[in-house]
Amino acid sequence: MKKNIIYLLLFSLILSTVIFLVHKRVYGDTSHPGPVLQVTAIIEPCINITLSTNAIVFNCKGAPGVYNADQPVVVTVGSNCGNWTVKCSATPLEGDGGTIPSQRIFMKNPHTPNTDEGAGRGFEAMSGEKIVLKGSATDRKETTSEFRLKTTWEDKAGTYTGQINYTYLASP
Amino acid sequence: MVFLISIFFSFSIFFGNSHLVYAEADPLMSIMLSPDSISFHADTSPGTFDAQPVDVTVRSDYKDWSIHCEAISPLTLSGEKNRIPFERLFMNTPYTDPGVDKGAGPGYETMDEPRLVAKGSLTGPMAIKATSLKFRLLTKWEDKPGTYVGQIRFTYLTNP
Repeated sequence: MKKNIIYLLLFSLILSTVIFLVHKRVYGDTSHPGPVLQVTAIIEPCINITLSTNAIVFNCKGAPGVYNADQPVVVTVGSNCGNWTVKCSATPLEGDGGTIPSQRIFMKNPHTPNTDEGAGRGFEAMSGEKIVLKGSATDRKETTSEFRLKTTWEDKAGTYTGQINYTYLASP
Repeated sequence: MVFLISIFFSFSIFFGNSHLVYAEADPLMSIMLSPDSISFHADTSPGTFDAQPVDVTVRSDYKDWSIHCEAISPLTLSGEKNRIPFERLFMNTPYTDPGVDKGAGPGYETMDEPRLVAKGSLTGPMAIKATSLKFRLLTKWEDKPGTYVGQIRFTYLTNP
């Protein structure tokens, strides 16, 4: 009797499996594999440098000395590169009265040494390229740079203009 | 005895129905993709980038069919472990909700689950263009530069 029950259970199991398989074959609704679409994404190295202002002014209205720029410059960098460095360099300031060399423009930021080169502690003369900010892949990293100009009696009155150029080095 | 009977019935049912199935003409279902590969070129700051549209052409003897697709391997940077997850690969089909915006624009849904892309009925001997699919990628600053590769698989459901 016990054996018969086991056989009946076995029969039910096999029958239900067969019915299930046959049902699937006859009535379909099964998932079949189709084509495969190959996907490629090429991501180029990218660095985005934003300055809080595109011009700074030194209003030198008194005797020769050290003058602050009218505003600091906030540099914001976004990059997908593994390592990057943003640097800046200044051109001489040219005017009708002559030239003010870039060595008399000074910059202070977290990367400049805490020494006094003649324009106050932490302000470094802009002779050559100076590091502004370093980092790795990030959506946003920023720093603030302050600028100073040192004037002398030899600088004739007038308006002098120049540029501070920002450049970057990046490795993927 | 019961066991023998069960085996007999099982086999007779299985093979009997198998004959019923295979006696009919084999239904055909073919799906063609044009192009069969797509590429995204992210050459500016992170954001959304479109690939070329993919036309899906179908030839079917089935009364009812539907085609689904899903990303089966995430976009992976060659030779490295960096990946762009499925959640940042999007597609637009006639069946995606035009009102939805999951970060890649209205009508674009993520590919982190299978999506219905087309359905139809008998096509006759001629293949028909079933749908045109648009794909979009959302990149982020943390995606390292390089070439990422992945795959999207199409599957179909049928009723004879």
